[in-house]
Amino acid sequence: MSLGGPFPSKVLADACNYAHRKGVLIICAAGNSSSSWVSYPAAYPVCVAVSAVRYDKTLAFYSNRGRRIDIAAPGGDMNVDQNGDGYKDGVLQNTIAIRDPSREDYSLFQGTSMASPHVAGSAALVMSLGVTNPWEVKKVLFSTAQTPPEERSKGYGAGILNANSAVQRVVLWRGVKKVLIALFFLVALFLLRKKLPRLITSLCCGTGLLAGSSGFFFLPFFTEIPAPVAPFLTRGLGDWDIFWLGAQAHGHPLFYSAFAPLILAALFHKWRIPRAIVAGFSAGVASVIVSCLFAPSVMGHSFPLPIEKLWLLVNGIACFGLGLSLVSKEDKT
Amino acid sequence: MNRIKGKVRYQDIEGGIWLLEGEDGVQYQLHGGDRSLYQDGRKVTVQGQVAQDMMGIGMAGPLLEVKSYE
Repeated sequence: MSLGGPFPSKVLADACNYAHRKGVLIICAAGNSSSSWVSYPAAYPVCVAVSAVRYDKTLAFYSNRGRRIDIAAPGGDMNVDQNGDGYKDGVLQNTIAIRDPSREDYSLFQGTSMASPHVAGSAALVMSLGVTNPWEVKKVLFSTAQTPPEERSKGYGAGILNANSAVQRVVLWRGVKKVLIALFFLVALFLLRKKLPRLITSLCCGTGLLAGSSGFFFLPFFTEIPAPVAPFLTRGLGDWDIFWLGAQAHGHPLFYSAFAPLILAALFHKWRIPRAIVAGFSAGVASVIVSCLFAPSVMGHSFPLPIEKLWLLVNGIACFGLGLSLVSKEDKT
Repeated sequence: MNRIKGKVRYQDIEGGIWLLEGEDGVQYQLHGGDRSLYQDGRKVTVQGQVAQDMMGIGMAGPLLEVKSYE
């Protein structure tokens, strides 16, 4: 929210608390009076207060500052041209024209109002990767913020926003954690089967496992993936609901169920190689579903309702059972 | 109702806002009044009310609703 005032308001505080309870991450401009207070709503504890820095990463002259700032982001400084591009260092944006709301225009602006959307946009990027819990999103943004040139307490909060680091952190760390948990499930599968798999079977299982849990998240670091397939290749089944239904629908019961593994098993259980892939896929989906129950911070998404937890438990067991029956089938044939 | 002496100042933040640098040490954001009040550097005495229940995109200080000025 790029607005504010110096006085608290019960209506506004209630609205912010309500939104926060509903899982909204509220990001607000800290204010432009160069003072050490923070304007409302930014000052409410549920809101993230954003101060503004200029090109050289120092606080912009107008920005509010002090210990109550949560994070800093680019807000522009129209008195300087530090990047030497021949223009004042404002934030270029497309909005209604100044003094003529009937027209739109591209203009340079400065203000904490320009800083706050940088943080909101970065939060949206993180959420688009499946980390939707506001507390987790905040943690990612704050922990990847850049070290400021001065003491943080002067008005940088956690530091200066770094969208690239935030996204990389989520892609890499969340991916690695998901793979490790999924591998644990696959090993459990083979331990229960009491027989070591053949190399080709384990490779197929591993491929399916990745598709069901983390996706091939590491591929973009090595090669360019064509845009239409990238989301489905680089993300596990549990994140596919984001592309089809949007980040708000993340955690859709159909994507967090035994539905997809069951259909694939029905189609492919007759052939050895596809069967091994589907077995791994089932174990991968099981690992994601069960992690949502027991390690929600790894997934970054919460399922608060008891009915959701029950759904996850039943489907997690079903997926794992399906995987087990598929790998055991090989012994009989 | 407050009576505040100070200097009118234009600041190019948030697309442009008008401030009253009060002699009381407070930086107010001007709201209302007519065109002739809004001259950068003009010394004025403003009669008005500090709005407790308003906010805006300027966020540069308390909003002063101008009733009259001289």
